Amino acid sequence: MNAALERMEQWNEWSSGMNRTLGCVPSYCFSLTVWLLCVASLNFHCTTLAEPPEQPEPALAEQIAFQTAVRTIAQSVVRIEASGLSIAALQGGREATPTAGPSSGLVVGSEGWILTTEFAVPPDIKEVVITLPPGQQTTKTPKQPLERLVGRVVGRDLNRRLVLLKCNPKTPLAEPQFATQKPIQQGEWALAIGRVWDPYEPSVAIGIVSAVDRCWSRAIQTDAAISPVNYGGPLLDIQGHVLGIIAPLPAEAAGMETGTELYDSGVGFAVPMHDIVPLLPRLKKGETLRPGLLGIGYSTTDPINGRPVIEIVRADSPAAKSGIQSGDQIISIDGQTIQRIADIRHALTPKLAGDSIKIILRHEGEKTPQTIQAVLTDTLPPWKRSMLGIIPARQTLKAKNKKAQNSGVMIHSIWPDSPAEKAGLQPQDTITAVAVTGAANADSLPFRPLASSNQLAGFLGGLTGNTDVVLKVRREEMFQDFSMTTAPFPETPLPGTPFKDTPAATPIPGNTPPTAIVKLEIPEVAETSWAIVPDQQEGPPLGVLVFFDEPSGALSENAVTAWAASWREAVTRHGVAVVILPSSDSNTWRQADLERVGKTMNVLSQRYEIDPTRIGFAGFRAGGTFAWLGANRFETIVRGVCLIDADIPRRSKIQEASPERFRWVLFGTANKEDTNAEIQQPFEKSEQLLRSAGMPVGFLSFADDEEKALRLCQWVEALGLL
Amino acid sequence: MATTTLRNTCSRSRSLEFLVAMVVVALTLCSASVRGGDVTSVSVDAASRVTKIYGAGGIRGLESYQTGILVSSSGHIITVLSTAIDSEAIDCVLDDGRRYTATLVGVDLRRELAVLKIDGDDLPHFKLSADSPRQVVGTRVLALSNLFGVAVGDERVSVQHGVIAAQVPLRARRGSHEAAYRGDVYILDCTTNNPGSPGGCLVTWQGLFIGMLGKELRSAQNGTWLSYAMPANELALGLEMILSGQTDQSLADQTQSLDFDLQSLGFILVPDLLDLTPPFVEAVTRDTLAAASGLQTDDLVVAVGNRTVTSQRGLRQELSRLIPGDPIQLSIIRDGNIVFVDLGVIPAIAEPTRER
Repeated sequence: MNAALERMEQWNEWSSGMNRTLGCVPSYCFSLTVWLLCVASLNFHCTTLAEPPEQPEPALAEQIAFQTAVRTIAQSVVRIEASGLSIAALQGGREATPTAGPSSGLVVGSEGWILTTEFAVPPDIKEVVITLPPGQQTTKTPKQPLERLVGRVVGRDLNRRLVLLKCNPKTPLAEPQFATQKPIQQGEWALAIGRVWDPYEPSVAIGIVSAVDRCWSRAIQTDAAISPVNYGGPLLDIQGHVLGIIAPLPAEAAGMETGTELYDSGVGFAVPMHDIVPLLPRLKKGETLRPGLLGIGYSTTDPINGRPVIEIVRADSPAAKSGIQSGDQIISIDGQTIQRIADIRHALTPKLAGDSIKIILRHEGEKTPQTIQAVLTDTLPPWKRSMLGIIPARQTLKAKNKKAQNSGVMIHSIWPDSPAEKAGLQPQDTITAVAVTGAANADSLPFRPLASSNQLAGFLGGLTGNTDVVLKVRREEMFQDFSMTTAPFPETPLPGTPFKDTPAATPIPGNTPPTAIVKLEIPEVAETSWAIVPDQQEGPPLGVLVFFDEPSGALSENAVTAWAASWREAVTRHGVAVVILPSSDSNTWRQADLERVGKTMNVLSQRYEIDPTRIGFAGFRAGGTFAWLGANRFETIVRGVCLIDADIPRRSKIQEASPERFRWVLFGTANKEDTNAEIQQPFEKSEQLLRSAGMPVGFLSFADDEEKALRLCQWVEALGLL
Repeated sequence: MATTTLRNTCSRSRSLEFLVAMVVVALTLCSASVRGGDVTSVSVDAASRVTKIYGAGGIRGLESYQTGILVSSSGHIITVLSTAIDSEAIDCVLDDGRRYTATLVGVDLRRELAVLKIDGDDLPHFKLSADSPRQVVGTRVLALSNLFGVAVGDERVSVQHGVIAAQVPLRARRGSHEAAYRGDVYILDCTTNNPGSPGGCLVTWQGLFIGMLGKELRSAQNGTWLSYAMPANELALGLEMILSGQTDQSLADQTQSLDFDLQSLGFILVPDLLDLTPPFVEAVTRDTLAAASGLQTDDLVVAVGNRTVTSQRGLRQELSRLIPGDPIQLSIIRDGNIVFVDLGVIPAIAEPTRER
């Protein structure tokens, strides 16, 4: 009570002071107020006295819990620094792999086992410096010298981007407690711990578990601030038990590859301990764990929600060996029910090479499900695209036109000197079924009926090298079989002569074909993109060529009209929409412009019907390099890239070609005196890299803008080549 | 604390409204006392001591607005030194919507602080003290600022919540320039490095004023954006200096980084060809400190004293921080083990002696 009285005196003293200051206020006001205040403070004191040791109020209790959790884990979080290029590597002139400052790691074995991520220890680093936490008793001041040890890379999990290190501590390290007993719940507290800011004290960021089973069932998602300051550190529950290892995982859906793009964005990932713990013995033995591959692919426009029907079965893959066939529908994988393609990815992505999986599936046209067993592999045999040499008629996405297609794949034109030409196929023929001519009796060939060119693409995607096939073809209501041997995809994509076309597509000389210039405006984006399209109401779906010029900033309509002049004929002749995307900055192409590409494509596809198998990017100089980056960003839809007087960026990642990720690359230049030696020279290295990744590389030269336009639009048409 | 709340709040009200205000305050006080960290009441109270600042700028990348903290009843405002306040006309808008034109009182170049003054009296404010205790990691905080300038007129500034993630010396850069201030800051786990945030106030969930939100800077360590706040005691020191008329032009911390001459210690590194060339020892000169310490060719230097280095540039930077008399202790990797070598102390004369 004394305290309350003391306070009352203070108020009185203070209120009289205030009274002097504000003379106009009646004094009873003050008395009343003071009385009220006293009641308030008396109440407060009474409650505290009446209820012995009171629970701290929730906010404070939580804060205490956070701080306790951090203390619980502190001895198990180390700092990791890579200084480690070998002298040999340095003298060999190899570029350093920049590791952006220190990183964190978690003790997973008291004998010196430390788990961290690839971010701290890039693939070419074998040794790092590990800084141990200060001894338990040490307060922040005075600072004791910290113990540093050499950490050796023992094992890697390439699927989850984790690295296991071993060091030799003098005393056992503190092992943390893993939260593997109960399932991780969305909404529970998540504390992100790192030892980057301060080697003496771990840092903490607070959030909740935003989701589980992210990154195709490899990660927990949290809204705690995740960044290089805590990659490799633990994500804790409120008890201080480890939920997972914080890791920059790729958010593929958002087009982010390194995983670091998302730092401090409210989206962060951690690899759950319950997935890691079973792998630790293998990592400790020095294994490199790789993503497990089955060798299947789908040909659908919706690779997420599409039906789980397998279209492509890669030759000699685990899928092929276990008896999976094109057309199979997957029912379950390792007991997980599969309803759409996304479910397959969720089931397969966490698996590693060597894992054995049980798949229940139904062959096409059969009722009884089959159970098969497959052992996943780390590498599929190299894949080169093979072709028949037909360019199918334009594909459509619209339902009303689907029916017309169901009868087979109609040929629009024939590639010169191709197996199809030699076998005698003609434009307007329709391929209705296809089979591989194996040892099987000719009468009982397993013909695969074709409803769309996607299915034919899937069939071809599963073939390797020169394979003998038979096609059932409908020509003027008569059915005929055509036998041929598939050929490798053309090395030089554009033949000197135009390929055999339907007569109707040949332009009438002297007539300027009608084209339209349309504005493609995106909400909230200042820069307008433009498209040159054939001016027609009805017509087959359009191919798309997105052209990136040298950066020049916004384009006026007049500039676009002038630019369009040389494209008019090509656009109408080949049914291509040419999109011109101006750079937002007049000096350079920026990352942000990439996002506009996708939005612009969306706007275009809302206004015009687009053939998804004929989308190409092209660019001039800086725009050419940017076109390459754009094709990487939208790799699932872009079938070809043409770089005119440009090369691919030196550090750009070139992924192995696969049926789902296939790209035709052209290097182009204006035709000077003489051509080929001059054009090819600067791109030799890129050409070599691309070819070894299984992609066809061609060279394109042209005399003037008209020819450039024609050749590019013809190439867009040819992107549909099968 | 209670006294301050009352005095600052009631002094803003006039005559008869005063009573009402007192009652409200009494009730607020009551609830705040019982429930402690009441985010709402703490935010409302802190927001009344924060001002939106509008000044020059508005060029791409440089915002024309930020936040400031009232630190005296007569209208002193502390904020970060930036292009926004490098202006003839600086406007400050208080929590109740009152708009004042502010004058610049002074700046502290090292802490990158500025003090403004508006013509007011009995304004609610935070009292700064050089003895403000430091908060510990994990402390829950509220950050109040004119984030992205969304608060207009009498709209209350935005409140963000988070914890103190770390407490470390600031090592930051803006573009390629290092920030001048190298003292301790609070690193926050909420994103406070957005336009408008600089100069915002940081309070605990109990309402204790503990710091001011810093500028939009990147970490010199790993290039990520920093969300940090300068602790209250540093602000108090800066304020005191500015008000006493001193203008600290000595950017002592910054100018000392001289390129260190390793040869004077007796060793050279492999050619520095890359951004991150590792500090491998190329050769050790006979009869030098380095030779005496046992340093050998092919040793990889990984730390100077307690600070890790990962590149030659890092090694030079760390060595340049040492002053005459400091011990030179290097940690090196040799045959897969970490070995310490002691090169004695930095010679009294910093200039390298060249004997032939």
